[in-house]
Amino acid sequence: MKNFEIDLERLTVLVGMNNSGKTTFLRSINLVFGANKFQPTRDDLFIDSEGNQPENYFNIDVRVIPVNEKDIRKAEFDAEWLSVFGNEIKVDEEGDFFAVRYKVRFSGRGDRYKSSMYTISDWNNVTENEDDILGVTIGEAISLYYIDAQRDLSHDVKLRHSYFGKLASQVNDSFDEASANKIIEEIKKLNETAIDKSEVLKHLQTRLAKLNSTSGNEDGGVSISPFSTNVRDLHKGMKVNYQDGKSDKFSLEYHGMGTRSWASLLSFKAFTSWEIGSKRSQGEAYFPILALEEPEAHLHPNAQRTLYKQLSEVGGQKIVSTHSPYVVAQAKLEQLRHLHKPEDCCRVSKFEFTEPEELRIGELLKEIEDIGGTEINRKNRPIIERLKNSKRGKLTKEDKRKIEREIINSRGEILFAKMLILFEGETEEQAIPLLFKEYFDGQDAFDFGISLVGVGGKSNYGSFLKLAKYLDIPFFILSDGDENTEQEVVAQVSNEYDEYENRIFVLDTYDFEEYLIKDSFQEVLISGINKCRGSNYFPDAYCNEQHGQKRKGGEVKVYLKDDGTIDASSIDQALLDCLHSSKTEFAPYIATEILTSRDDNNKCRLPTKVVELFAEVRAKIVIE
Amino acid sequence: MENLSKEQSNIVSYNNFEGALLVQAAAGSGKTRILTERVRRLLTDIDDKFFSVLCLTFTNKAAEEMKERLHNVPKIRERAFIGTFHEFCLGQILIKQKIELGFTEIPHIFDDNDKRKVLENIFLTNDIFTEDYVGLEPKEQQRRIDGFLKVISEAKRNLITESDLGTLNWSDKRKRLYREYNDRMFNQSAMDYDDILLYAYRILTERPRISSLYRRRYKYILVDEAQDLNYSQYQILKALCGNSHNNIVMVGDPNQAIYSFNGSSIKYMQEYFIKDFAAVKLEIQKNYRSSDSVLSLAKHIKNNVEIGNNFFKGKVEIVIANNESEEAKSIVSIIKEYISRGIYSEKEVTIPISYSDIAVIARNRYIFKHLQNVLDSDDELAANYHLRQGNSNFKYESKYINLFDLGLRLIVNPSDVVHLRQICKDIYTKFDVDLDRRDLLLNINQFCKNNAYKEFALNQLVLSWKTIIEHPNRLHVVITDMKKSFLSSELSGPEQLKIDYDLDQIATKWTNFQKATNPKQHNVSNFRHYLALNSSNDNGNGVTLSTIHASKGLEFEVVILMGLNEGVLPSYRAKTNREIEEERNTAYVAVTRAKKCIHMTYPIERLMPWGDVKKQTPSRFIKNYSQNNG
Repeated sequence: MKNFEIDLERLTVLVGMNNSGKTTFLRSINLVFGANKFQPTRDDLFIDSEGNQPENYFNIDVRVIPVNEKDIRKAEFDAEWLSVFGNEIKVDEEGDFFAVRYKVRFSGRGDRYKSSMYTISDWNNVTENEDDILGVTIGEAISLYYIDAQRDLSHDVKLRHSYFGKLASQVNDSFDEASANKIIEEIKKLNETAIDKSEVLKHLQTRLAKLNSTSGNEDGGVSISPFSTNVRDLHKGMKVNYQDGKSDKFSLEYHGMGTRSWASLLSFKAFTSWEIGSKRSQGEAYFPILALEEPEAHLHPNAQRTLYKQLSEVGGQKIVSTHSPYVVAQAKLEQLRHLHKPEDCCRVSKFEFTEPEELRIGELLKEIEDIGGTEINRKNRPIIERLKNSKRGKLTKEDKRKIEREIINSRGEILFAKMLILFEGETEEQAIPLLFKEYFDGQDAFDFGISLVGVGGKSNYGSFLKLAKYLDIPFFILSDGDENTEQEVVAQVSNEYDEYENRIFVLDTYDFEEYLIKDSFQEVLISGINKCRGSNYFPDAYCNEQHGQKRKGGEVKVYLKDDGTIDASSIDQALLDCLHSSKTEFAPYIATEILTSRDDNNKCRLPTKVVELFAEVRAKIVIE
Repeated sequence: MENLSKEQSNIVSYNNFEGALLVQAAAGSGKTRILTERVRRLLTDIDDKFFSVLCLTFTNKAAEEMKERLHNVPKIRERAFIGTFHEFCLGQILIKQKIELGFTEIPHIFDDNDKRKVLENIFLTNDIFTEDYVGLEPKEQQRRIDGFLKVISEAKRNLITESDLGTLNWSDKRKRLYREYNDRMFNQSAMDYDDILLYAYRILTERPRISSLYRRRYKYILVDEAQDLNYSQYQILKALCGNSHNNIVMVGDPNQAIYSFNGSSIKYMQEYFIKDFAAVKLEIQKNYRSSDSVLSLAKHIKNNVEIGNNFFKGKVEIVIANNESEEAKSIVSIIKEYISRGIYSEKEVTIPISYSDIAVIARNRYIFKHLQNVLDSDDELAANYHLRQGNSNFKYESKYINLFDLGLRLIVNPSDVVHLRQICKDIYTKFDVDLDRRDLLLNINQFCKNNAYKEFALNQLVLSWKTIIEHPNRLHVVITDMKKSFLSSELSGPEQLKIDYDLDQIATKWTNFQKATNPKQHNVSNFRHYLALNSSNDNGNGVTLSTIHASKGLEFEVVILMGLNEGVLPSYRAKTNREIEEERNTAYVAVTRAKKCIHMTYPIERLMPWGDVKKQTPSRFIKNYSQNNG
């Protein structure tokens, strides 16, 4: 990871392939704010493509800004944060901010390092002078809790430093003295009853009493407490039981990993909401950050959806990495961050919407209206102008709605793709995956992280292209090729991209079927049709049956000569008409049948345009 | 918690801490206590804990005392800034908001000597000014420089920036000199003491968002010794408060206004503050500190003083000596008498008296000359007194430590020309602005042509500098290493003693610096800032010798006020009524330092610098005072 910059929402969802930097990012922010910090090691240094580590240090810069209840940046920090950041708060055109650089520098060959915190005055030009050393301690005010994919409440219960353990260990303090004494009294009675009723315990007790005689101590006593008499230890023996519908209530340990993992997250939620309340009452500022890896682990899709809703309700800020389309489908587009690794370092991309600017402009205008006068005008107008500029080229509400409807809700997996190959029709949808596997020596597209996507109509590329552009996912298009279609597709692409050379592959025909005919795949097509409808359906049955019928346009189909035999010159037309009559039905047959086509060397022959496309794809894969 | 009288306690929480308040409080009425308790109660009584308190004191010493008394208040360090204007402006405004002035690194502070060198260099190198300077007698040259230093300082205290120069009726030459001076300072990344407030003022007024930041944070502001506010300090307070903030309390005593030569005036507290902030004025006249005798003396000096009815009667004595050396001897015998008795007792109450409970105070430092001679020749007393330094800079005895220190300056500020020139001068090497500083320091033996510096000693310095360059926070390690290596070396005995003394001085200051600052900020650069603002050296034990000005805010069981002649107090310089009244305040400050007893001494003749003996008359302030008054 090198020169990686990301901005975070209240809830941020990180998506991207494995090894795209999600965990590295979470680890790095944990180094700055982590409640449980781990030691950085040399492995955390950037490694270039040659496997070298050119620098012996790394920097993590974090900027904190105040936001309003709509999570839009506001000018001033609240008093509680003034008291935490003190005079390390800096001011830019839009108001207060607090920024730090955490620098780790290794010395010698081992993992010995020195860390320093600098205050950042200018976010675009960080200096590291001695008088930039941070003068305040953030302490627990901003606490990041890093929960990795291996969480499990049945372990947490036993660990003092887990969220469950942290909260549970406060149990003792929560009793007033009278209730504590009462509980102790009750436990004492309980212990007596238990020993009284159990022969085994009674036996044990008498035997152990002999300890006294060996030590010569007459006054002492040996007693067995099946139940802990120390209220302080109460949390240690605590068990969490969970009842699922009508089944019996039983201990968490006997539940599956999914439930345990989920329960662990819930205990975190309980922990933070408790802390938020108690810190506030103690007059301390507190802002928890949850860094959570793969919340979906072990969970059923429905549970994943519910889980996401519960995450949204956790206080503070959340950063969640996921591989689950179900989780992504729940997320708002602006919450998504796509991490990827185009060359040897990670990058992040995201959707950019005009909405935040619009809201902020609205607020600034309202301020002008409410307060009035030249001063507020002079203050707000330049900001409004700047916001208007930064709004340009971003996605509108309508764009957003479309992307959500056409992609995220039903095909969330696209977000995890390394590359997209887009096409229009149903036949392609059936055929391209098979052709791909053939071309790439038996490897499927998903083996390369490539999504093959039928967009369902020539005018439907827009949302996919927007997604590809903002998330920085390379794309290819295999498009039908009559004049109108080509123009329409190119128009959609050029709307989003200035450069798209070698990205669009146009079949210079009306559709894929027509292209196959043109590319001399008649045999394959015919055999596909006949496999579907029974042998000899085409051309004989079809031509005879359809001859003289009208096409959609009203034109009469002419396949037979006057003598009733099939006119060889119209066979291509007949084939096309036949295919068009039931694309959906034929598509799977044709897809498999293409693979039987052989060239002069008796190798599988693929459609020419498709081969051209795959060659580009391969070149691109090789680069990356 | 400290015990407060009802009167004091009412003031502490007056009007639930809301609104502007001027507390005019007489000497000994518990000003520090009132301020301290107010800070404590603000931080503990108010439910909302998300605010901070800004408490501006006149001296570091006063700030330290308050911090000490408040150390057990939770989060005191985070929630209260207690310190001087300069400390606040440098540490909390300039360093934090330096980017607003276009600095990537905050300029380093030059003291009066450094400033003098900058000016001297302008006079010597800039053609426009050489003609007025080069031909002059050395003494005259000094006067020119002194004179202009004063002009610069005054202009800065009046917050004159270069853009304001047009409005001044200065000669063009003077304006050019002022600009040139500022340019040279800026170019070597330096600023002077007055720049601290000027820069802070610029940030606060030119960047309303920044002043708003401080305003929002420091919901309560307290100002100690407000009678000595000057224009720039008052303007900074105003800029800090803007139009909305008026939770500001000033505590001061017009009778103790003694700094008008620094531009201070009671009008800021008594007139402007009342007007600008609609401040309510409260008075507390009762002196809880001094005995009745001391109070009656104070009343004799300043007629508007209220005499309390305190427990102790105390004692006032006037000692007339034939000459200065007799005066010195009688003072020594007074001290010895207290020490041999070891107590002060009255009405069956016994108070122990040791050296540190006694102070000798005088209008000017030269008055101590004879006394110091006598003290130094006394086996017992020589080790049991110290001269309280005002804002003087401490100098190194050893040339090696001096060189080490100059090197440190170049390490923290490579643009520093003044000290580079100084090093070159000391080691007899040709000065060149473009000299590579690191190269010079790390190969100083090759540059050094001055045989007085031993090679092995310079090598030790190189090692020390190297360590500091790599680890700016390890000054203490370097000091220990230097001590070890120098003191086991073949350096002469006297040189070793000097080095030992100097290193101890630095070590003490470093320790104090560490105590006063955040551990993360313990580095040489910040240490330099700290030294610049904490130059007074008041860690001495035993009897305190202090000028009246430097004794402000202190108290002693026994005060010996010496040299009470006309011409000394009041100073011969004081001519106008106003000036005489300020001298009267000075006398008042002096006597109110005493808790129990005061001994006033004066010689009837004095040896003048030119050799004449001059008859002396007693100060008009005690002329008609009868010792039996009290």
